[in-house]
Amino acid sequence: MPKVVELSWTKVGWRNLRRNPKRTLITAGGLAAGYFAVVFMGGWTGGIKEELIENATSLVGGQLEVHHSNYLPDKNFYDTIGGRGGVDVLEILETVDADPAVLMSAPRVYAGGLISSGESTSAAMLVGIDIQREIRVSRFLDQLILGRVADTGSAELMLGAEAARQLEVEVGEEVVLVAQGADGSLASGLLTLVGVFDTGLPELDSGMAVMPISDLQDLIVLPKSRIHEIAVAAQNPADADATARRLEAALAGFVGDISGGCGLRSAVRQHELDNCRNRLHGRRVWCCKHHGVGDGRAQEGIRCHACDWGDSALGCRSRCRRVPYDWSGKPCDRIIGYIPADDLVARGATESRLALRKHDDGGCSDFPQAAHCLRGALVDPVSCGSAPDDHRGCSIPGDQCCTHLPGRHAVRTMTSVDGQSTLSGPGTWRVLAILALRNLRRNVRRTVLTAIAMILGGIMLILAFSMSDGGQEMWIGEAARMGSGHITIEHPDFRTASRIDNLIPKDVGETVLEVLSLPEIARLVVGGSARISVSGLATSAAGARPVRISAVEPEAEATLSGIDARTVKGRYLEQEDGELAYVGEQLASNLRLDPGSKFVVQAEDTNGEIASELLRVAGIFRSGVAEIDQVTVQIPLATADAWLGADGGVSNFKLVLVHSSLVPGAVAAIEDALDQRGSLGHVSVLGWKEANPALASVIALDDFSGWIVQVLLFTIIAFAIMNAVLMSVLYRQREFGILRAIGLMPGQTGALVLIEGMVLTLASGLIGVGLGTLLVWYFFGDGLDLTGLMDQMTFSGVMIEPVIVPEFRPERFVHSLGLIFVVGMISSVYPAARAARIEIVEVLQFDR
Amino acid sequence: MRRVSAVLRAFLTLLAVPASAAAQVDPVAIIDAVDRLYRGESSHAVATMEVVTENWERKLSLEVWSLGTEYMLARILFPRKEAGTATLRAENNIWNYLPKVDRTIKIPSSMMGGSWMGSHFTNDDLVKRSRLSVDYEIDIAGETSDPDGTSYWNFSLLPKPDATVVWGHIEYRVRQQDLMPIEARFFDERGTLARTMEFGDFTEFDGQLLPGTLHMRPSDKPVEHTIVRYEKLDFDVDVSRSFFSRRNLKKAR
Repeated sequence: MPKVVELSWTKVGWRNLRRNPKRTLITAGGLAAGYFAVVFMGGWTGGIKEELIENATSLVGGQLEVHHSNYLPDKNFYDTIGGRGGVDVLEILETVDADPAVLMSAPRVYAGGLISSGESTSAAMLVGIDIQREIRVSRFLDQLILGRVADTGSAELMLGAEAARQLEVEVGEEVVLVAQGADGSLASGLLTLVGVFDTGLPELDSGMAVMPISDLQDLIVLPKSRIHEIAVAAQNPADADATARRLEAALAGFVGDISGGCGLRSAVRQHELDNCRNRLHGRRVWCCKHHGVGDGRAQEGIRCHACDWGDSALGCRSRCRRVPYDWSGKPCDRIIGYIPADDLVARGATESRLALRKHDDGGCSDFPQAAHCLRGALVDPVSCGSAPDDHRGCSIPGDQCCTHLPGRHAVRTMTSVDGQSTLSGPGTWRVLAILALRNLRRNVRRTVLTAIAMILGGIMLILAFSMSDGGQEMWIGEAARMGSGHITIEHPDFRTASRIDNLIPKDVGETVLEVLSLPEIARLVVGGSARISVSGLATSAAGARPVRISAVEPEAEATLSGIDARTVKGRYLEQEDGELAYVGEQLASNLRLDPGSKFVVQAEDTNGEIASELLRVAGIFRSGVAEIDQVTVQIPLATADAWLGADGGVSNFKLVLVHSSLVPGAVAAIEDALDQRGSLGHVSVLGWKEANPALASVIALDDFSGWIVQVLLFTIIAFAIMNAVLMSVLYRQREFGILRAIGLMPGQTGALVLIEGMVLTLASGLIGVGLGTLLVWYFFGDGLDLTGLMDQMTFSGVMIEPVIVPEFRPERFVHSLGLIFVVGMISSVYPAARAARIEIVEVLQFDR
Repeated sequence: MRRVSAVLRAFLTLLAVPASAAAQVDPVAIIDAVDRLYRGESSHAVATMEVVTENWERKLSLEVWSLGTEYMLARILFPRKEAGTATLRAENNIWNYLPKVDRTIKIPSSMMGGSWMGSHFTNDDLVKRSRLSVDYEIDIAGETSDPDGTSYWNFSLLPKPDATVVWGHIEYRVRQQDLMPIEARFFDERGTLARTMEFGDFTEFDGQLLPGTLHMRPSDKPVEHTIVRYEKLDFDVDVSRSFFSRRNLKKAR
């Protein structure tokens, strides 16, 4: 029984790592890339999430808002904090500021009103703010693109960029504000525009006028003690709920309601964290979800671990993750490690196995595994005889037995197929290829393991590409169908002023239709529809609401947008419908409309007169997008034409194409054709990117994220492949030595490894991409249903079904194959160089 | 946000064609006569408007001119803070003049549903020009009488299919002896009462008997109402179309 050297695990480990620094480096490189990817992706997605929360809350809202408990959702002007009597604003602000989680609070007053400059008048939300406090709570004042912040008491205000554009007013000019005062009077003020902000959010930029709070209170005759809202910036947006509860207690003396911003409510999670925090005396903790064994049974739950003082967040989190759950101190029941044994080396073997085996009594001890013939690495020459079938050391076709170190074991001489001892001549590459293939076949397990990395990579690439392409195409398609199409052809001024004046005249419209019927354009187009869009007022016995009236060609619109499928009551419009309307659910509810109910719409007609039309509700729809459901009235195009005197004119032509990738070509073709007919000056042809810049930027961000994920993924895979190929090279040093000994040149040895890598990469790439396509097609061909993970989401006025249908693009297959091939080849270069550099004598003396 | 166009216009237009007292029981003729109480070539009135809401009460004194059904100019006389604030309705458009800032602004169509001068009338009410006898099918729903012997006709007004009116139906109560309107109740299509207009203080203005007060109550806010009281009312005054100009909107008459 050989003596087992007592070694600590650490020493054994270190020695192993030091023994082959390059291997260690490559393995470490792969792991590092993996860790980097995890941290980076965590940071990236976390960053995006925080950015979203930050944007959603800090731009205007603040992480917490304090209101009168009745203020939301209707935002009744008279529901100020503390009720009609108001509050001591300074005192309540100080109370809020006193909370340790609160960075700053800012009071606000809101009032609906009109802003007018000369001929233009538009409705606006007037917002009164305490500038000094506000700049520490929200960011919209950072977005001033022109001018400066308004001064208190100087009759100054700031406007959103879009509102300023619509009102045709510039910094330094005066505007009139009109609002209903708190006493019912018609309040008005002449204010100077001193600043223009551009937040990027249309609803803010086109509808918000901001001024010092006391100026607004004076204007609308609201006592200084009455404010609608306190916006609060909190240390940690994720803790907004806990802060809200503390503030609720602190503000019990004031009548109010505190809500966390951005839907951060998660009572259960917060409760558990709070418990942990209390138990751990307020120290910073990280909590993990565990599946563990405790008290003899499986448990699942939250465990929290205190961080040490000075721990970074990352350090603390990883400490949490490292806490063992289930196996500390338990008997081992499987091999958990290998150590080199010096005494065995001394006896001629470089390494042997020591295994930890479970004893019957439950304890563990080391003992050497019985030596046997492992690819020629013999402890005992006799053992070789006991493993006569072991051909794994043989490399040359025709060889039949193992080879052993000369002089130390019985050597059986190799015999090559053709009796030559050097490989050269025109057949060399063929032989190398045969050798490479044989090598791959010879150790199937190794080949398969290496191939799996690349196959998985291929599958993941196809999955990622097809899902991301499919998802994006769905977003774009949905936005195009519900909105203004992949391409919209409209009056050049319609985008900036969507008024009834800016219609495409009938004759130009006919030219457009003629162009669209050209075969080279028609084949790109799934369908198109014309519409007239105007703003107006809808009135029923229950009240009046501003609306967006879309006059459509019912059949074309239903086919393109599928909006008819969103009907919740009644039916969609039909071609021959006269004065029937299809209205959004929220609007119907506000005006108390049902199918059959009548209401009156009013809008400015082409003569500049306000024209009324009596409509009856044909159907009520729910798009899921609040902004659409609150304001949309669809009517047949012919009805609007007669009502508004459009005389065949339309606001825009909406075109839905076969695929979004056809847009640039189609736009160019349409523009060319219109140009030839002299009509290009009368219309503008816009692709979806121009018509919906918000969606375009999200798609760009999605693409960028996708590429980052792929780069990281393939860096990891590259390291894994390099590791596997290098291992196989190191493992076969002796074999390469023999090849060199029988006449292979160093370059040929390297080429052999490269050919192996190439064959492996190509085969794995094809299998991976093929398998990926099959898997994606089989499992998700009908769409990956994420309904369980998320509800319908809305974005940019588009409601998106949480079902992603993958899309396979030919160029993506080429990309994927190319990427896998390049990564595989690059990963094989170093092992090939390593194989080319071996010292024959040295490697023939040692097994590894 | 409630529609009461016919009656509001009545108040705003304020011109009485001498009411034919002919008491023939022709419902269309009677309602038309009631409707035309305030219609005519031109008028000039001084009135007070008292608005009570959950949150505030206010009282305004107004001077109003009208020409036909298309033109109207109303100017606030009192309270002093708002004096000079004026509204011009010319055809379908409404402008407001704001003396404090010396500016005139046109009400955009999306804001036509907004309250006019804080009252329960909307801007949109000012521009409606439907005539009851044109837009509604009118029938006698019954007759009632008070214990003191005063008799009333109850009329039911059902909108004609194509009429651009929002009401489901209107119930009018008209005093038989002098054809004075007593009460108009406006219902939505479900038959729910939306608002009530009461007429009272019947007084002779310029030789013509007319309701001196209009009392408007929205049904969904029982504590709220708007009362208009006429103090002075002259008909066939000397105003021309050029009077109803944006330039004149600024001028104190």
